[in-house]
Amino acid sequence: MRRRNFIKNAALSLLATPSIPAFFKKNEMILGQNQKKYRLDTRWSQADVAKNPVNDCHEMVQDSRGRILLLTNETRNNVLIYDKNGKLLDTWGSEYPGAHGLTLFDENGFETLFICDNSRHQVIKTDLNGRVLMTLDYPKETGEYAAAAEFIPTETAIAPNGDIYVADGYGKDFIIQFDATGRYIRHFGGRGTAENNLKNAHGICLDTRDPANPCLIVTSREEQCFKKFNLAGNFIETINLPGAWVCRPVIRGDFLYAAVLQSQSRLWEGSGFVTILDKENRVISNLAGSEPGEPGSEMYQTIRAFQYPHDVCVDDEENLYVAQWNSGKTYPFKLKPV
Amino acid sequence: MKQFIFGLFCLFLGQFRALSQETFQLAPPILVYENRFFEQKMAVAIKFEMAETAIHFTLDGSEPTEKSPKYRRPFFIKKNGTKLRARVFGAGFLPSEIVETQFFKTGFSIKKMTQTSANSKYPGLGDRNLIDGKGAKTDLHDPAWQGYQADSVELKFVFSKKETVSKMAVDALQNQGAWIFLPQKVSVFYKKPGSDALHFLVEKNFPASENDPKTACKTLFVDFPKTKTSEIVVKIQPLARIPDWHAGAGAKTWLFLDEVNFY
Repeated sequence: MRRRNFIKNAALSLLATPSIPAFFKKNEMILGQNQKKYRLDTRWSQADVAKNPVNDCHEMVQDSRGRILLLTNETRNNVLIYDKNGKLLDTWGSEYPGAHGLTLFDENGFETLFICDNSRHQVIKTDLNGRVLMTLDYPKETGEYAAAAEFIPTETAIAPNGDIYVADGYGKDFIIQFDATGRYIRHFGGRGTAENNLKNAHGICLDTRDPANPCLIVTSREEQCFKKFNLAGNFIETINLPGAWVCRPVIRGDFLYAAVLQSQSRLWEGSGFVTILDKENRVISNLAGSEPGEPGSEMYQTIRAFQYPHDVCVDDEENLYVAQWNSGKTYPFKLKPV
Repeated sequence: MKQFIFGLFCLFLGQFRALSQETFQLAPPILVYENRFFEQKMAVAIKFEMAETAIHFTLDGSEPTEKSPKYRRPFFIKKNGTKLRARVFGAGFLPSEIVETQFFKTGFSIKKMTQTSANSKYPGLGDRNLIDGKGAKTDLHDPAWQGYQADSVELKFVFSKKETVSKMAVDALQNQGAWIFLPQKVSVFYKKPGSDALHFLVEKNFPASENDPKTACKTLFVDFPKTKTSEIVVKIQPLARIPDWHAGAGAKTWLFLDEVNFY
């Protein structure tokens, strides 16, 4: 009887103990600097790899219901839809072998997706369930393309009036502007060395942080920079990110977030990280990357937490989700602000 | 009671599983220097801007540990053949891989040289590429690499003046994953003024390439009898065929060269 009580009391006191041995203390991986630090969760996705595998995870967006949509070039399920806790809710898509770019646009309450497909050489507009609404083929009207194969779109950005800006990031590096019905308006950028040219126009986004002067932020990944253009396609300025093979810019609130595929200092060694810029487009935090220094100082990976991050999605609670390319078919990671 | 203890034990284990996370490795530091070849000395810095980490390095070829000198500020390399090895350590992380580079004094001044044309895919940086003192880094796309897929590569050097020469150093890239192998044989000859005849100095066979996954720039040395001359001819024979243990067994190899020095 006394022994039983002793064991019971010992067990209860163990449960109640506030001091957890250091051995069991959570090994928290906190990434980033300044006011943009995050705790990394590599086990966010609860998808079953046997039922819903991924190949390259290219991009992610959040819809108005709070769901996280992931685009992968795995044709068993090109689109995976999760809740914010990583539970897989739905999947669709088998016709997107080159699924690369994913942008969400709210047309007065009706949400649409724009998918860039590298293999189909097209931009496909769908609803959130995958029903195709419009397809954009290679822009003959530009006079720059001899065949569809030369057009390899990587990203779209949609202006408030519905105009579609398509970045031909793996083709000729033009930004082609269409109206909401798909009618060609103009093109700009293009491969070259002038300041208004682009080399690997991998990403594009609309920047309305200065509401009086909306503009486009376009990636020139080979030049390790972003370039700012106005909505009519005129070059404004370059935002240099030395050392960073930056993917697409994603803006939420005052901040610009971007996955950096790899560090120039260590090419093809899984040297990626995530960079965060403030309203003045100065780097203020690198997640798994070097501490931000003087503008123009080289950036590089410091912690091998990511291999080849390809996109960052920022949700309504400022959590981040990182999708990775060529990283062992790994599912996205989540990062929570601390 | 037993069930209670068992349940508690499972709860305990479950907590442990939920709390334990993977430990990440630090990325390697970046070695910053103008050139691997120097006249008197070369300034070297080591970069790794992350709080609560420390860079440790060695200059004697040994593996850097936390007991090795801690990097604090840039320093000079003055000794020919110095091997710099560095590594980053930080609490809560696995130590980074070791990064290393070897530094050499520049050799005799070379007035001009001629060379077998490199493959158009990897043309190098022109006629003086192998003697401009700017060594290529390990990236095979570094434009300073001259790439060959040939049976033999011939290089002819004319020194600025007659020198007593007894040693040659040539940099070659090893990246077996990209089918780039170290050469099989190097032969060195000299010429007498006014004559095209080649006078044999040495033929050096290099050991058969072993399976080595690391990409590295290797400096190969060839010693030969002291000779006073102003013209040297070097014939480099690439490895004829990719070895049997390699996925590309039997195919032609690539030879990547940059920087030749004579001492």
